[in-house]
Amino acid sequence: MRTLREMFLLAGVAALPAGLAVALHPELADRRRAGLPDDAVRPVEVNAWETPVLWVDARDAAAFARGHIPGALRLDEDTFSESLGALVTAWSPGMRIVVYCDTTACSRSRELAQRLRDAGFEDVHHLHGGWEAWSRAHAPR
Amino acid sequence: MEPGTRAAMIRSIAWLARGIVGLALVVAGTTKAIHPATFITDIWSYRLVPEAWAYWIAAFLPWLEIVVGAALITGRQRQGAQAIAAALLLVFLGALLVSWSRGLDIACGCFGGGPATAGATDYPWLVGRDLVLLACLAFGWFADRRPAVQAPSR
Repeated sequence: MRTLREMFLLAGVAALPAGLAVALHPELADRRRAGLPDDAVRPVEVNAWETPVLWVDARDAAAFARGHIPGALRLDEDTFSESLGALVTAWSPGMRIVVYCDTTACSRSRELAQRLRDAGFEDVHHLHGGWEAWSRAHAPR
Repeated sequence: MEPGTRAAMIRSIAWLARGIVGLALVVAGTTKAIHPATFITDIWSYRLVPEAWAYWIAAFLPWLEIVVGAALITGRQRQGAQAIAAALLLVFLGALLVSWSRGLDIACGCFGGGPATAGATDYPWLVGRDLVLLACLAFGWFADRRPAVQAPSR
């Protein structure tokens, strides 16, 4: 009982600075406002960029065949090494890479973006909401 | 060795063992509290929790580590601190073992840091370090439960 009481007390003490950090720490406050991780971008943000963008589709071949962002390269974890050459050819310095998959529920784009950063590419992002969000943003009105 | 001397030595070693775990938690918590964004990415890389959870874990966990670490060092709320520290270390151990079994190349996130370089995750070292800290805690825990030395009856 005493152990449990002390555990709650310590957790409560930790909650105070944690709450302050959520409100005041720039990294946490920015993310809370945007609701996005650092490397995630929304379609509207990508549209506003002036720098060229290389789209990378992390979905499977069937989904890619059904529809994809114009100019996108398909690259998934399974064919990563084989497809990397095509990516290097398409990429030029100053280009931003944006990886996408189906929806917010899929994590492949984030993982692939990380893998590309590990491979040495800079300025790599993943599209929040993926293909679904992009299609919605670009649907005819 | 006199029973009293032996008990004092065990108490000293237990204090040192708790201090080591406490210091490790304070350092680990501080580096993560300074750069929570990096820690969020590290949590994701384990692929164990949804994105929204990673944010709140990254906000709370570093401060819990700091508070628990400080409690272990100072000896205040010792039982609660030992229990939370043991739970934290067991969770870290579980997460490491799951990632290891999945063959993930991750940044452990244990002391902040940043993204892992490909093939760089040294799982045996990370698991071993976690086990050593758990052993230190276990020693402190059992030392606390050791019966006090009785004065010899005459």
